[in-house]
Amino acid sequence: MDTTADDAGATAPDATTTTTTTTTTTTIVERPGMRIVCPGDVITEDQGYMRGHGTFIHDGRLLASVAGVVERVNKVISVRPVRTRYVGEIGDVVVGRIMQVGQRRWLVDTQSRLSSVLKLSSVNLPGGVLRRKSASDELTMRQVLAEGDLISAEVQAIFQEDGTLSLHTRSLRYGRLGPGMFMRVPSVLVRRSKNHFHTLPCGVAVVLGNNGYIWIGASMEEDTTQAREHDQHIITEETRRRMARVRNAISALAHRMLSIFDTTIIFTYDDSAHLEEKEMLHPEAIATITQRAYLLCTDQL
Amino acid sequence: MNFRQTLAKRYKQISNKGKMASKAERQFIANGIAANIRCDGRDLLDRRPLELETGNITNANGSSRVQLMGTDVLVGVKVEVATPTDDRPDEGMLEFSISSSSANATVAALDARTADKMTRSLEFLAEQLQKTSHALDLKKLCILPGKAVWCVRVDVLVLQSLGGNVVECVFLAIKAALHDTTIPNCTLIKDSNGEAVDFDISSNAYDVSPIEGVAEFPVILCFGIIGARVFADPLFEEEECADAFVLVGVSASGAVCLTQQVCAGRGVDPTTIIEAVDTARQAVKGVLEDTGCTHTSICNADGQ
Amino acid sequence: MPEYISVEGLREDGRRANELRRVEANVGMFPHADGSAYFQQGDTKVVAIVNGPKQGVGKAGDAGKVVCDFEMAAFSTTQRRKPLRLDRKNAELGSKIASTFESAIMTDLYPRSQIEISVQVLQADGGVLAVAINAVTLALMDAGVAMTDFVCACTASVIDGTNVLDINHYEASAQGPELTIAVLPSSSTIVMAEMKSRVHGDLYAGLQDLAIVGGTTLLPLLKKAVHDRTRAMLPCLGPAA
Repeated sequence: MDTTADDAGATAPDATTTTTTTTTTTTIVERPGMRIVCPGDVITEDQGYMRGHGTFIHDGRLLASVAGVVERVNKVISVRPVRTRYVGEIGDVVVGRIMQVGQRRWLVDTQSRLSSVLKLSSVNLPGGVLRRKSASDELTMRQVLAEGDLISAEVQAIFQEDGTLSLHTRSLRYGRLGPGMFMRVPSVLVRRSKNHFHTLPCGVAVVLGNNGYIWIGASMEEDTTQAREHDQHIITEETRRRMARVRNAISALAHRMLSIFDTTIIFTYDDSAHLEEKEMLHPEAIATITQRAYLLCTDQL
Repeated sequence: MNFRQTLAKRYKQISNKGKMASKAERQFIANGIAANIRCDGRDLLDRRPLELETGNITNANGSSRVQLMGTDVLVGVKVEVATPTDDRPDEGMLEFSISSSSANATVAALDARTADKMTRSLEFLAEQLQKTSHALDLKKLCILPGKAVWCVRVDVLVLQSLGGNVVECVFLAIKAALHDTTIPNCTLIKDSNGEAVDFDISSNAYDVSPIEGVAEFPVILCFGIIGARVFADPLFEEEECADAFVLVGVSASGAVCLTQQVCAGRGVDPTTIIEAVDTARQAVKGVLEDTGCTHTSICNADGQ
Repeated sequence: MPEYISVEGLREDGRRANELRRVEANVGMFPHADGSAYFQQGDTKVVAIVNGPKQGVGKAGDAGKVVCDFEMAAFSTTQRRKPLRLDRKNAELGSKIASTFESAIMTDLYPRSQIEISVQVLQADGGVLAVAINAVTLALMDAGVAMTDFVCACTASVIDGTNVLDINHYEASAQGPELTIAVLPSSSTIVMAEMKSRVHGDLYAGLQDLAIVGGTTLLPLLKKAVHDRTRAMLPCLGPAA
């Protein structure tokens, strides 16, 4: 079969396509009535278009390879799937969990197809110490980030050959996440936006990873490179309740498959004011508290 | 014993796969338990809303499905005529088999062997429940002594376990499925001396009876322990952080028929276990009411 | 002798010879998995769960691998069957499903990766392999795995000299030859064919044609399930920019 395709593979021409997408989002992207396609559906027989993600060319026609919505940027047609593993782009903010400490690098679970890599050279070591190059590297590395630790990071590069994401934490806002809650939602629910670190009006801090991993904390950390003593960190009951409410608001949004960003979280949080935190777990409650977010996501507000 | 090892191993397994909580998360969960505010805002002894449906497997004599926010358990009960064992010629049989779907294993980072061991130990617990509670009178399942008895086979399938609290879901589903189960009525064929020699099983789908004594069949409630605090209906992440678990087999009337403590790291103060057992006795009624598996409801359902 | 087809040409369950059983689909029933689907054809009920594409063991440059675990619940069959962990028959069906989908999934997009499929038969009433394949198609699409086409599978058999489509367990007891075929409907290519009985050479072509028709008839039904699911999921993309 004369099939050519590309998707998560992130080859060189692709990277350029994606960059165009992000920079021109506000002006040229069309959402013409949200055309839904299934794999094998013909999108166009017009030869004048280029294939983007989620499409392939067969017999000169452009076909969909995933179920989703057709998107067109200039002459590039792509299909955005409604559910998929996280497909990273350079500059994305992600939340990840350290899976393995390797030689001069950590392997990080980011809900993407392959485990992501955090190189020793891509982290700021505590107190700005220069990195060592010795046999004890691995031991020292575990003091910086150990298995199970949660981090926030940015996608620095995408490996050409297999699409592995390379992360970095070389900024004060990135790095190890302190005491708090971790949540996992489908990655499509978190849209790319200017800011993924939010301090909600209720004071609770949320990091919405583009990869669908979410961290909820009592407050945003100022300098993540300083190893902190967690035991000294006292969270008041009031804060804990607020955090639980944020968690339940996010899980209600995820349950209804609604986009998760600051506005929808705040809507759901505010609309649940008449309920106790634990009452938000009931299916009937989920429907009511997410109603405003639903209207927003379906452009009815 | 076996269960304890496998459960402890399960947690190790999870941590090896990198799914475990970081020190900071553990600390947060433990502090939350100590402050009586859990991750989702529940108090220590609150339960999550649970969904239960019955009768969804049409070629089984009884079935049920329990869903608890990411945990999904399916039970099918088949009733068959079997030959009784020589030492118990007038007793029917009740067998449990529990398996975990391969998808559950991969999603919850459980390897096949650990999952297998875990389900074996749950089967063992289920058998113990019947042995210690004598809830079902196996003699009532006898058709013709020495010749034929009913064999009630309960097959449990764990489809998903990410919501945590699998043990409790399994036993609630078993109970609900047993409530849903009906056994065809039998007529004995007698010879000229009035001795029963053969039997005839009714083929009419409505000529059936429920299993006797099923309302008294116990369930197992699972409590997590962190420090000196007992908490009900653990979340998956709370299970990862728990010091120990206490499993309490308790019947609708509050009779305790089985307890088991599973250590996942640390020993537990004796009073804490007593607290868990007491809590189970108080909670069981509410739990069964929520699932509709109470004495009265089943009488109504079958009384029609 | 039992009668499988009445004089009026109706089958035991009231269908005509070339009619499919009633179909029911529920895509995405397990939100925690990457992809999942429940598919029911008549009284055969199957759940398929997809995990991945995730880190595999291959080296860079290797195309993605598809693996499939096929399991039958103990209560799925009329005669209860104790499930074995290493069941050769199930293992064979699993590898058959995996190789079927390798021809539809664009595996070269997923280097060094593995796509894990798990099939759980909840109730078996004939045509289990075909129903499982249909369920897996839906689950893969729910997982957003790139595929060139739907994979639609259907069975065909000969009973009392008549070619019949999509037989159930009762009709299978007629001991006719049972052909299971999986097609890529838009190109009408066969990606899997299985028959484990003797059949007269002249009959085979007819059976195959009928099974292909069955598969193509299923396409709009499967497509609707995926389409409906996608539509229901649209709010996840958030408000228009």
